Amino acid sequence: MAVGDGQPPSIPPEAVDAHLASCAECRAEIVEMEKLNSLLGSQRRQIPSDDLWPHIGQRLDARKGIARERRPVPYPFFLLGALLAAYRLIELVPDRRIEIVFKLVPVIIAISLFAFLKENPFKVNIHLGTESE
Amino acid sequence: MEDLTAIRKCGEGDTDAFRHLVRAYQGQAIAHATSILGNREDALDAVQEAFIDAYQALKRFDLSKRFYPWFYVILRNRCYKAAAGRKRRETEDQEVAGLLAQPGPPSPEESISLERTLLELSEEERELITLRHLDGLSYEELAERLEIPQGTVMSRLYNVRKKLRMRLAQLDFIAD
Repeated sequence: MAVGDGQPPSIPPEAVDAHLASCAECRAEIVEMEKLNSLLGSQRRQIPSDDLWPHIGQRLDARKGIARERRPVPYPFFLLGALLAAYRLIELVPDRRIEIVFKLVPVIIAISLFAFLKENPFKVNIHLGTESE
Repeated sequence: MEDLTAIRKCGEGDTDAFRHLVRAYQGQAIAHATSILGNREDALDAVQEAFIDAYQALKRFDLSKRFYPWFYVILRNRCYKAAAGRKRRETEDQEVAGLLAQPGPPSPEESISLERTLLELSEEERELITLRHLDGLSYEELAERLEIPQGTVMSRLYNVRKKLRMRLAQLDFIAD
């Protein structure tokens, strides 16, 4: 197939020629392949002139704007808020059962951290998907 | 502006620098996406999404490599996601996708028939045959682009051509 495609064959050219001299089936295959190559080779790909930048630029700017709006949440205020929320929830625990407090506080801290880092742990990483293929 | 300069600026958060990359490669990206998806509208959506993905992934771009082959992997990933998410259309109902430049030899009508025949192939088959024949990629380049071994490229090409030849012979394009 490499011969018909004009690509370097994986076996020596002399061996290919020797085989072709004695194998009518392979010779016919090469002729057929050349016909198809000639037909497809006479075609050109249509290169569209669409300009996608207005849409893409707008979407990138919108994302940048959202990121800028989200960023200025000051860390100490956020932490204070989380601690107050935790304290309020602990107050609501009936009979101040200490084992519930131990379960609740790490969950609240974890949720606060995820919110603070603005990282969605369930987000599909497109790049990883690409690499695995 | 050169690609590398644009990529570096994008890394610094300059979205405007990305315009250079979009405008330089959008034409061939749309053409390649149309080859895979066989549909212009889906191709335009896939290319837009792929450029957004690429912008976000640019920080991981290896500056010693060329942009388009790297981007192509993202693009085809987007295309195959789009293809998986849509119902396969019947070829008879399909309009000409704008895959081949018009008028193409031997005649415009035959060129349309040839395009329809290409649209009958699966996305993977159409991608492979158009990259080989319309872009003239070598086996080595095809293996790199499609992330498969060269041997697989050759066997897949053999099978696609056989299928295409049989179909074209039925349409009296080439003698079988």
